[in-house]
Amino acid sequence: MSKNHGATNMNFDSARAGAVGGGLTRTLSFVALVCGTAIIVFPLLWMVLVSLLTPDRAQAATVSGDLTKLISSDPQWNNFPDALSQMGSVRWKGFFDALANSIVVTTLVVAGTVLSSSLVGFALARIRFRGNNALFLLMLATMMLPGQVTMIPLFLLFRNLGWVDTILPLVVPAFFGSAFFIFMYRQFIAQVPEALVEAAKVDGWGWFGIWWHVMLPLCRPVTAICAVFTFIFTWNDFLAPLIYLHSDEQATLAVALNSFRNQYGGVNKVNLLMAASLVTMIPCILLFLVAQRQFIEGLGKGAVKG
Amino acid sequence: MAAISLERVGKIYPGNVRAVEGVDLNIAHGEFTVLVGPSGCGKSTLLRMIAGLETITEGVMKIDDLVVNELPPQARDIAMVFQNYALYPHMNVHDNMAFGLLRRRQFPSRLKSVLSGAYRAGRRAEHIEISQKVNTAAATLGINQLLDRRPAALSGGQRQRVALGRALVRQPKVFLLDEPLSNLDAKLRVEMRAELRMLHRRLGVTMVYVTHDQEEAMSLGDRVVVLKDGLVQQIAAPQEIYSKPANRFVAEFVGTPSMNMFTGSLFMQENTATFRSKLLLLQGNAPAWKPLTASLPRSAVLGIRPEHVLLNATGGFTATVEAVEHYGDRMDVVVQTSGHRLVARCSPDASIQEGKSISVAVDLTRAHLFEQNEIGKRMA
Repeated sequence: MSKNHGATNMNFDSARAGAVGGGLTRTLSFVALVCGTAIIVFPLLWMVLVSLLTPDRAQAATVSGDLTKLISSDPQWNNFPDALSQMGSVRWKGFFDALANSIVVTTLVVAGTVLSSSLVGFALARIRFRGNNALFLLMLATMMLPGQVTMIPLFLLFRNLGWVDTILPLVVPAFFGSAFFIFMYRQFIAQVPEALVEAAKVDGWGWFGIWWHVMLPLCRPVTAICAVFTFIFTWNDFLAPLIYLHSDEQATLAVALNSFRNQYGGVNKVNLLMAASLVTMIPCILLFLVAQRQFIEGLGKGAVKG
Repeated sequence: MAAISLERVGKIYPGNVRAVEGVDLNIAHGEFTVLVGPSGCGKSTLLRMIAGLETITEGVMKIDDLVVNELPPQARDIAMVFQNYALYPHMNVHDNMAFGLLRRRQFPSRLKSVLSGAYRAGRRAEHIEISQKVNTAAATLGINQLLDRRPAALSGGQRQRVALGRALVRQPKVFLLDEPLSNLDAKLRVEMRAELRMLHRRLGVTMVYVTHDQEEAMSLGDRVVVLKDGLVQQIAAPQEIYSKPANRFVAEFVGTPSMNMFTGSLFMQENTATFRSKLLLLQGNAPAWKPLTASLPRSAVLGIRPEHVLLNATGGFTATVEAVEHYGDRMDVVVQTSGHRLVARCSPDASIQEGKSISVAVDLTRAHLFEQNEIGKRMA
């Protein structure tokens, strides 16, 4: 056999071996991804299926763990209006009150967080003053404090202010900045050319004008991440509303959902509970679908300007 | 228009770094003054101090007899064109130009107009007035068709015009320009230079322009301020800077190619002033040298511009042609002898070949004499 033919055979064999190896790797990766996805998606799927069952089948599926009970030929779509109307003491009012409260609280918290964090981040990044770095490090250090440590002092403070059973303890702190988002804004704004700020100064604008008209529009990527993260956290927040909102009229959806669970006890009406929970999740799912690019970028890049 | 006065103005950074020191400068109403010097000479720092973007550490600065040391940029009625244009990327050209005009009324008067219902009408009238000003400025610069575009969709030259327009529309007392042409290609730079001159002539505003390009400085300025290491070397009209440089640095910095320098000694020989160096022996009673005769003999540095070096001339020295650079309208010839290199400029028709010997002489009446020390102050 000539040298050339030998070389050709060797190339063909190594290519074939590569193709087989590559195919096996792809198959194994696919199987692993499918298994991972199934594990993550299963609880959500379980919720959807149970929300369409009759009370008996739902209870059976929950208590016995019999997965065959999950599939029903007669989906109970009326579970959704039934669940929402039975929230709270007055029919339908409980749900709409909770929905309104959640919308108001979440909107105010998102607005407050974005405005205050961007303003502080801008000041730390652009205004030269003595102690700038020390203040920034101190602010970062507060991120190490667990929320549980400040829970009781904050409650005592708000109680003394007469703010318990109002949305003020949930909303007002958002207007004082969030350390994590201040850090993100500061890092982003530090990369914006100084000349833009100087041009705005020469154009006659003060610090607030520069922040509002120049910096905030340029920080759109960070603002999107901040808004998405804050929305999801605030919408799903249970502990703070539970501590500060005592009456039914003030409750948010998370607290109302918990009251619903306590009201009907155990697994008695688990199908309605799942239906109500799904409705509560819809805004977050929609938001993720709309802003998923920013969401993933925020997880991966930390909002550094590209 | 405004007059700017700088009295012993200086800038000291932490660590006793003196970026600008003891600058005395008076810029008249409507004058086009150019600050020129090598990188790090303090010209941009000085401009930024005039703008209020840097604090003034020493001295007093006045704009129209008003001391502005403590005034922020917003209160100085100046407009600035930055080296990288600093256009707001999220606004279109119209909004970029209008941004400086948006009226920021004081809160009480705004509240009064809101309560009286006149707010909306006032805002509408304000926006119409601003748009008119923007359109006028855009027409002056020929950028009307770009008003809806964002900066990212503009070329370098277009961005530069928008930056100029943003400054122009505010009708400030003083225009400050920080190397606005440095990011443009050579051809566009020459075009924009001419446009800037025409704009200045048309508007008659006070302009302070910073550049590191001495050709740009010479072509644009009514007066040129040459800086080095934070110190003013010379303030004069371009022609005087070129023909009577105050010291060796100015002589070598201004002019392309640079002035040829010969280190030697100056003495009297048979009642005739004589300059001798390794290469040159010059004798003659040039009128400019007469005042020096009383202080001779002394060491000196003789400078001669390339266009005053004579090739194929009698009475000089022999050198070898190292390189010939053709520029179409002129020719620069680099000659070398005894390890010393000098540049001559001649007409493009001269028959000079690389590698050949050539006789070289200098025009004594065009020679400059400088002291032979670190500063190299002009003697004649």
